[in-house]
Amino acid sequence: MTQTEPPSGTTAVRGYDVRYFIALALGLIGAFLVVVALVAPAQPELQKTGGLHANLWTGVVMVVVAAALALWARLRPMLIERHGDDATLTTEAPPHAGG
Amino acid sequence: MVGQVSATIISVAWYDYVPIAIYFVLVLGIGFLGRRHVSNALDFLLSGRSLPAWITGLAFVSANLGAVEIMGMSANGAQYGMPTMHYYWIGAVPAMLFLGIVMMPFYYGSRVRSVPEFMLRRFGPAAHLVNSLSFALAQLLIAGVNLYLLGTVVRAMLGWSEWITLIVAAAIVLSYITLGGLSAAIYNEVLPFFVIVAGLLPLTLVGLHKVGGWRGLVDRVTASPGGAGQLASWPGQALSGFSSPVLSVIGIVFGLGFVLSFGYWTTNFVEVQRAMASNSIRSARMTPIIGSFPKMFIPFIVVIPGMIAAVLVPEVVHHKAAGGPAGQSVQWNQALIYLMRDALPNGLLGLAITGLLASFMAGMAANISAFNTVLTYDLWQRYVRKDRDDRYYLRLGRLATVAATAVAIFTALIASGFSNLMDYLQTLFGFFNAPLFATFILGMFWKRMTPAAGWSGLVLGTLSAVAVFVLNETGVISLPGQGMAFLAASAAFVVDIVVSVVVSRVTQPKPEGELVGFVYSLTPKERRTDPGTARYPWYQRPVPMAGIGLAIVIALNVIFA
Repeated sequence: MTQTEPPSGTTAVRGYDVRYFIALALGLIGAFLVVVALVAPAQPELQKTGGLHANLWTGVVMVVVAAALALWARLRPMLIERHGDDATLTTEAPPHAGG
Repeated sequence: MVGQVSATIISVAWYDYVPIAIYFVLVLGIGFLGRRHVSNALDFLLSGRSLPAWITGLAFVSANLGAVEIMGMSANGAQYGMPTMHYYWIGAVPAMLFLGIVMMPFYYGSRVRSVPEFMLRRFGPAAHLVNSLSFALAQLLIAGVNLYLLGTVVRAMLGWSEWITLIVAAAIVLSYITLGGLSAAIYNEVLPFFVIVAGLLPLTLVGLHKVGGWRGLVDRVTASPGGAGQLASWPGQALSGFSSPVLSVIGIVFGLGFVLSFGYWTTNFVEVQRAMASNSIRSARMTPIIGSFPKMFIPFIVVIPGMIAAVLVPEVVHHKAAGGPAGQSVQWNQALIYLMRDALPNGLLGLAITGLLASFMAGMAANISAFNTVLTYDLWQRYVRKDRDDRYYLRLGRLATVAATAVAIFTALIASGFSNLMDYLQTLFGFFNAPLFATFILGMFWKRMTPAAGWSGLVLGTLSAVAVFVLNETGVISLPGQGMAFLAASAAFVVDIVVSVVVSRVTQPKPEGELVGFVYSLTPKERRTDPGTARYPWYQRPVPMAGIGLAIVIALNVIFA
């Protein structure tokens, strides 16, 4: 799926899309957990969690979720539709087919 | 018996502060950007207008998933077990679906934007004044709950004394608000949701792993005080405090399900406004309906950890064996923090703390800003000083922020007196939300209801809830658990309705022409319907989605009955 130009009468919101913002936060914290899992001594962790590599798993899942959110935001950019003074923001395909 | 004030509960490693730093740099950064470069698109996003339904839906749940929810529901899970699920599957979810299907079209069509505004235009100044005062008071008390819980976390990390912790926590919230933590409202609401889930989900899974999976949890809870009754959600006598199972079910369905939950979700405009920000009746209705889907699964990462704590954490096990006495250094409210200590390694611990801090601060900031708005515009501008310039009211708003934060330190001390915060919180909802809901719903559907009935019902309803509370405190009636709150709320509701009906019989109603948009039968149908809905696929239409939500929540009620 390639990225399409926003339909006429709409403006894409790129930088400030809330999904990028969430992806950034989750990705950074997830990456931090992965680093902790690799660097910090494993023994105290395994003792606490009963043998689970909890930091690593959580970190990996968070990075994956962050990537998925960013991908979603990229493939379906948030659009501002302008109707005169009125403007609405949408990620939904318009109901009348096409687009 | 007082615990050592200098001992910390959780031992934090230096790198546990990294996720906290990441989070607050991002949130304050976006607030800062929002104020400095007001680009068109950003401005638009931050104002929170016309957002897609999935964002407003998440913001809707997230605004409610604060301190109270996380700590209170896990405390409840530790103390009562599965009956706590009623707060979600009998309480919140049906109420949210009701809001989306029945109430939202009316709110949207009447263009009412706040409860005080509805009170003013439906019943006139007296009801507006009563409602504004009680709303302002409620916000101060609930801000205290948030502050107290924020303090609990800071204290568990750093081991300071209660006073110092509260003052420092208040100072943190104040700087968060002044640094622009509120200006990026939508970001601040949606982000904590993800961070909290990212912290609580591993906590639940690791906890379950440690007790030997679901089977292990069932066995251990069965063997613990409270026994197998804590594994089934019905009839929940320990939760309601009624010894008769039939009364208990009635108490839960009417008190918790109808009065408290329907009252909370339909009159809580701090949340309803998320939905009003949407661009059509369809999106407004979708907001609580979409929100109900995450909401019905949240108890699994909130209530279950509480139950795990009650069988895994030595301090909480001991507390439960002793019957959960008040005035001890261990409280039900701390169940989650103890579980974090025992099950989360450093790193994840930092993430979980970030989630908690984020939601408490966002919650308290929201209470304080709601207090500000009501105090400045609904009370001061309308009744005290009418014709001043904008600067005057802005300055007043800033003063009110500082004053409200200071007052919250004292209301936090009230909250700290309750071992299980849900007891306190439901009591407050009984005082404030239950009578409001009665007046609101009666005024909406009965055009004959008069302005005098509007304020007198509110006053007497609240007073009767307070009376039930006092009777219970002085031992005239004795309902342990949250039964007192359910009874107080029900009393407030019934008294409010009776008073409103009686007073309406003997006073003059407003002329019908002034009630258009505020009474259901006088609001034209075109204003309540959205002709565009039919063009959308089923998963973007309110009624089919609400049907699916209802089916899932009924299934959950049956599976865990």
